[in-house]
Amino acid sequence: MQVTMLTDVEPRPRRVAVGEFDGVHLGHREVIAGNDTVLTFEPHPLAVIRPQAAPRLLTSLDAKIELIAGLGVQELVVIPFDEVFAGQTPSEFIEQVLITKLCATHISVGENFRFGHGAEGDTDMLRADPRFEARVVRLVEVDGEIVSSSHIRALVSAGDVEHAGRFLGSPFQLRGEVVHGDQRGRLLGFPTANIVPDEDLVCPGHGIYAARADGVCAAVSVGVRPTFGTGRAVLVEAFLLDYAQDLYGRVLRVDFISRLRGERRFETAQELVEQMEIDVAQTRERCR
Amino acid sequence: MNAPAPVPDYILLYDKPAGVTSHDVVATVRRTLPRKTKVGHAGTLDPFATGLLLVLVGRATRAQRFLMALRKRYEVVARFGATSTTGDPEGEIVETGTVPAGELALPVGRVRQRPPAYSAVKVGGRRSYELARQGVTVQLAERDVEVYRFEQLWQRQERRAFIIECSSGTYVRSLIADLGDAYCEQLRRTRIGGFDVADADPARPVALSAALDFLPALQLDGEQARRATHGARVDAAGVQAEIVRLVDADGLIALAQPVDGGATLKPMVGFR
Repeated sequence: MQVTMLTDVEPRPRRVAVGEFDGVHLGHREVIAGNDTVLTFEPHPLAVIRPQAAPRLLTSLDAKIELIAGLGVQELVVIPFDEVFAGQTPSEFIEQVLITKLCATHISVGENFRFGHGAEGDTDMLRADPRFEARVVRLVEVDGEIVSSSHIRALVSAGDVEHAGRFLGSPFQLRGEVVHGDQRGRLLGFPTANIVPDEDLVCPGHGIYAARADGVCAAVSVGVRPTFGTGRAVLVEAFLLDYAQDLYGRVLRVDFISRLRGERRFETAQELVEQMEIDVAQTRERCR
Repeated sequence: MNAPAPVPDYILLYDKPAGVTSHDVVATVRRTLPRKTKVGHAGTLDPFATGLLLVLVGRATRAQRFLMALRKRYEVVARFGATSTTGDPEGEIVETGTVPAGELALPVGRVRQRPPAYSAVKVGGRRSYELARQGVTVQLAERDVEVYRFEQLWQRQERRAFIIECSSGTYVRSLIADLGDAYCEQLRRTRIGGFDVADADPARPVALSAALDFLPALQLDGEQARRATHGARVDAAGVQAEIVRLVDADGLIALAQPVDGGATLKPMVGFR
């Protein structure tokens, strides 16, 4: 898949799916299906318009690119979303971006898609335009619940990664470079690979999870650790089962499968170690 | 003339990761400093071990032996049922299957130790571990060390974890090997004297004067201060300690030790 900035786009007729597509969940996949091009915005429009209300995202641009490439799309066009772009009226967006730049013959969006300054443009406006055919995809439901990025973000934050994974179509993934931690796991006989999650992205709520780290079964703890200066930072610690290699410096991808338990304080190291042994046994079972 | 600003004298509390030598850490710090800056450390940690390393910069290197002499605290994960020629995971491991059950007797107090053949102790001017690697059998003299605390933290199958507080020069690997067929699988130094690994942060240098303020101080002025600066003995003025900081209004002058039965203090290292 080719990744192009809007300014570098070559003219050719396109079938274009348009959206933010954070998480590239099952609903997004419906919108994207059958299109050769995906048009997306970076950063998330809210990060520019109302930064204080901007959500922590499910996917970084890199992760989004990878997921969209996996759907068989030929080209991903990225609009650098800035204040100038945000000032564009809906008809300017249609005229300048969809028609002139992308030469769109077909447009595919979700039914809640809004565009242009003040989000004034809607799906009716796209449908009414005779220059392209507009397909408006109904919101997808799973088990009677609407699949939406904001719902999935809330599920992940609450630790319900199993539920989130059903909406995403694959487990929620967190990635990061393996850093040196405080060696707590090592001294409990469970050496861990530690990653500091990106603050702009959603992180599963504090607790213990069964996961796969680079494909290997792993018991993962999400919690805080004291740090200098900033006070506290979230740390993700993955104990990879039956895996003895040093992972420092590598980028690790952690797929969260299910939550095992919340964070707990233990009176003695012995109690903690015994609980960790149970966690590891449960992880082995769940990530088979 | 644009003389370079003098590098201040300080120590860094560094949390050494596994897989690098203590010397690597010193070299890393040295690279960030102007050429010819003196950098050292106060007590080696083996490559497989993690934890607190005191990195000494500038004139702090002169306080090395006093900082090295501080008591240490370690956390250890020992694996039973196997022995290691080096007492750690890097040696030749022989599985014996002999795993002790129940509580172990953990020695506290004065302990007589024979340094392991794979140790940095010098024999006839050569490092014992070099001789051992060449297959030369060396019998090292026993020495007394002090174990202040030796407690089990947890036990799981053939592994047990311990917290050990001991005097400088104690071979933790030997303490573990003396418990039976066992070797140190993980070793982490969590404290050196009053310095705790929880405070380790290479971005926060500790000024030498602050780092040494655990030592009792003797305030000097006028002639006495001038004498101390030149390395001459000064009146102990009733201060009794094995090591005393000599200070004046401008700060640290020297570290001194008592002589003449404690009546006078002899500067051992000067910082001016």
